[in-house]
Amino acid sequence: MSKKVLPLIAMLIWTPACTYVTKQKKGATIMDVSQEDTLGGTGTSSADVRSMAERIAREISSLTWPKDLENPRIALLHFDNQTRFAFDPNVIKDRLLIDLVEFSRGGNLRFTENPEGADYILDARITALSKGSQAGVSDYLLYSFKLRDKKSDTLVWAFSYETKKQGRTGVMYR
Amino acid sequence: MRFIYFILVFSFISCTPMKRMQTGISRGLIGSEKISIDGHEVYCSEGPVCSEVEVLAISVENRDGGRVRVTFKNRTDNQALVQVRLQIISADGEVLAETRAENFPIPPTQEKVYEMPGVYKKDAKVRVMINTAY
Repeated sequence: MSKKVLPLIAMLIWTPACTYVTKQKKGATIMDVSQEDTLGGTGTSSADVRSMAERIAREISSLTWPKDLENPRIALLHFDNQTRFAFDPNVIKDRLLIDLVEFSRGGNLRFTENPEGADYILDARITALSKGSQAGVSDYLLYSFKLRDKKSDTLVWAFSYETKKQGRTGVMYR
Repeated sequence: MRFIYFILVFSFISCTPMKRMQTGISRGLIGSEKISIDGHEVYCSEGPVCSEVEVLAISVENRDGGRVRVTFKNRTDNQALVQVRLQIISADGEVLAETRAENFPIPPTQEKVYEMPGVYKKDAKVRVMINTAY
């Protein structure tokens, strides 16, 4: 066998043997939950849900509350999705409730999903400004969170989380 | 023929050190980077990230539950997207708090402030970890 051919054979053998063993090969790719998938889409992503929930929970847990309230009770009520993306807004509500409990641990805040006996009501609305053309779509999503004093029905705190994404059509949300 | 067997066996045996060498070289070329800013720390998982997106300033509300602000500058002409994570570190090096990785888009050539409320611990150091976003 020619000496010139041998290194070539060695390369051919070596290359497949040394492919990445940690690279995922199965049909479904298991991803980090803060990672964007490759499907695209201009609506809400898991990264958005996690980021906004953390921000709001950290913000609420660091607020100063009236001294006469020993354990302020916050009720998380309706999260209203008014966008064209048909996803369940409870995914945001549940993530937020868990984060609120986690980031307020050791504090005096209490959380509930029942408005009975609550001092404050937290609700949210998701609205959008959507554009579309043959080139694609663009969606600006505004997630607005409002904390109301239940007795006076006045707004004591508000927070917004915004995203703007541009892409192609054809991604379905559930 | 013996030589082919030798190569076959050798290639399997040497695969791990070879792969280590390959990833080591690419790590050396891409390289992670640590930068000190305003008494805090910036860690870039890949050097080029920090050369494209620069941290200009890190400021904190010096109290427990204070706000952390990180000013970024996109040095490129492209829409940049980085994944930002904050760690709050005590003087002993203990991680007191950590935020989730968050995608942070920055318009071309612009400066933009990343802000995280309620995370800071009094007199602690902030480590800003910047990754490429996927």
